Amino acid sequence: MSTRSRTRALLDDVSLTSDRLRTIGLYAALYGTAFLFMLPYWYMFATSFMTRDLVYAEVPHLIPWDLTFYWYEYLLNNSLIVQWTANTVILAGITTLVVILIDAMIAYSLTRLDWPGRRAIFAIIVASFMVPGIVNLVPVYIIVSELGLVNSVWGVVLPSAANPLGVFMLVQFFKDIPEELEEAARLDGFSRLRVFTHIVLPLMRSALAALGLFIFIWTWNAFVWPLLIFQDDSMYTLPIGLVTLQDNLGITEPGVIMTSAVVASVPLLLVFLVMQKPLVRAVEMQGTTK
Amino acid sequence: MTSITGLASLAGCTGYIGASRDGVEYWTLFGGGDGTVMAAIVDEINAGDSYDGLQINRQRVPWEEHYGRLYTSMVGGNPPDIAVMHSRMMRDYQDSLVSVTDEIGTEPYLDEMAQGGVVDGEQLAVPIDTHPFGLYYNKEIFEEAGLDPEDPPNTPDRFAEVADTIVENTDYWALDFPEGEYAAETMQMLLHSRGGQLLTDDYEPAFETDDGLAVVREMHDWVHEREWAPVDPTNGWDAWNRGEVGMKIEGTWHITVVREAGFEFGLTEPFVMPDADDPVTVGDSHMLIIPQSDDRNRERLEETIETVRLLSQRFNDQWGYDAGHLPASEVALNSDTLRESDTWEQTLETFYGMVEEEQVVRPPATPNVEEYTEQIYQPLDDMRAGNLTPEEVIETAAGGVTQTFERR
Repeated sequence: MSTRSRTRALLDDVSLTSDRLRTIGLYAALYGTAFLFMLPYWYMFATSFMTRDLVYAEVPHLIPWDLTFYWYEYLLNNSLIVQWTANTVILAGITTLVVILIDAMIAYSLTRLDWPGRRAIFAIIVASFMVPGIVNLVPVYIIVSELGLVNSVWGVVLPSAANPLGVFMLVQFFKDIPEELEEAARLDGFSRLRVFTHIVLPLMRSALAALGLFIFIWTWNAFVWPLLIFQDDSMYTLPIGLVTLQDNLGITEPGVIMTSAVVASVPLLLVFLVMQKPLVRAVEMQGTTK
Repeated sequence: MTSITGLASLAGCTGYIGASRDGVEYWTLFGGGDGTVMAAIVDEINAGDSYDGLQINRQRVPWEEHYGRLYTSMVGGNPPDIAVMHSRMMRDYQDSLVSVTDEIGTEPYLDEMAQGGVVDGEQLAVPIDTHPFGLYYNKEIFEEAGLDPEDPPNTPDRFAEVADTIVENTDYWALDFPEGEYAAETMQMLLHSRGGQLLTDDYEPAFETDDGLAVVREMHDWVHEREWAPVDPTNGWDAWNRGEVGMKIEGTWHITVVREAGFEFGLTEPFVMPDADDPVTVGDSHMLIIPQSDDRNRERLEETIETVRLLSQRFNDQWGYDAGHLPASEVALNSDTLRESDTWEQTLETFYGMVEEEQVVRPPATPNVEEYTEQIYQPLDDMRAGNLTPEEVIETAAGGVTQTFERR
């Protein structure tokens, strides 16, 4: 093949057919949209490293040309941010585990055990979705206060233990587990508790991981209830602590706001990345069953 | 289960399980500059030997959540020993507060401020300051515009003249003023200067008048007719911090911000409303209250009252020279440390002058303060954004205020 014909063949390979043009357009649109979604996060991240002059500059900067760690130093030196981070991890961790355990037991009992009124109880749980949480704020606070749980981590964990979202979600998953599996285990002499812990829970790993992730994120971001219960600066969680740093008679410092947003969101991002696989698997499971 | 036990143990080790604490529980809403000062004052009391081992557990509550949380804790029977409260909020809480008429009294404080805590002859709150609005100005921009930086405008005519000069001779904005609840307070300040008021004694809107319309139109014209101030308050705030705004209406607390901004600044009276016979500024007070509690014994109450005394008297001058608020205590106001401080020279002398001339008006203490204020500032903010005319602002705000109190 001559050089000329080889060149023509190469050009034919890269010629822009309508299909290829459509693909390029599609990718450009998708990446462009993804970029737009990323932009606020990038701005948050970049601003946390900008000097005060850049933060207040007339034209917004996307690149911190003049790099500084001032806002991070400010947060570390003027707040209990390390303590707040530890508190948030502990609170979110305990709440997640308690919710998974309690909700799994409730859901199992509602789907597999035969007891009078279970349909009514399930209906009440589902109906409780319709009641805005803020309506229960004062009554639940009074109960928690009477129990002496104000200023205690259990005052935050226990009211959310029987989470209607979790129960509803797990009931749907439990319904999809073949009853024959349990019957076989019971023929082998398994007790009800052993069936639950050794057969059902392992089969539900993806669903429990998905629920755990939701609860962890929800607890991590919880604001009003922990604020009511924790009556000590050193017990605050990250969202509360960072807000106390941000506002002062309406005065806000963008550098502090953006840096605190980075600090509050990076751990969650890491958790999401770690838990991504089971979350996707749970969604697939739910999507492929009847 | 093992994981829960592990996390619970970790919580216990880090002290995160929580427990009731010894000492006086004190909830503040101060953040930023004045939050640091209040923290330092409390730390000094806690560390000192001269206060009989008094321990104060100060807790900073986020500004927006302070009153909701305080209300819930009082309803739930778990209130703090002391909380900070604005005098305008007293009405909603007055039935649940401990009277300190005999233990503290109003004598140690400037009468105008002390009266903000008195309801039906009972002293239910003790003032620590007043924090009125002033007119901050950028001396560097004044010089650039050919104005005398030591001769700030303290009459409406001079204000208009200076604003026009800045706009004509420089590339900067002449003015910025607050949004949100402080926009409503700015309106109140201008209205009072013309002899009007926001509410009647029966909580009816009192601004549907010629004066009310003139005030709102003036705020409209600052932005949309004379173009002294930017449409977007955020742009105004950023520009002020960059040193690109000539004047700004702000409160006592702003001194910590403007010091950080780094330009030469001054302060004068915010007498900017044309045809105002009695120009005034508006200034609320931070008060200390003691919520009623069945759990508080006599000894704890005495410690609580001693704490109120220390914060509102012994350490009140520090609250002035470090945090920038005008102290409420007569002794603190006359202390050499305060009078010789930079803060006195830069701002407090002017604020005190307005107090002495009876030019500071306290916002009215009413029920539903946050709700009715919102009904006023939302249309004001909309007008600044260019969405409402002054007439529509008056109509919308009056309707909203009426509804707020009718619902009650």
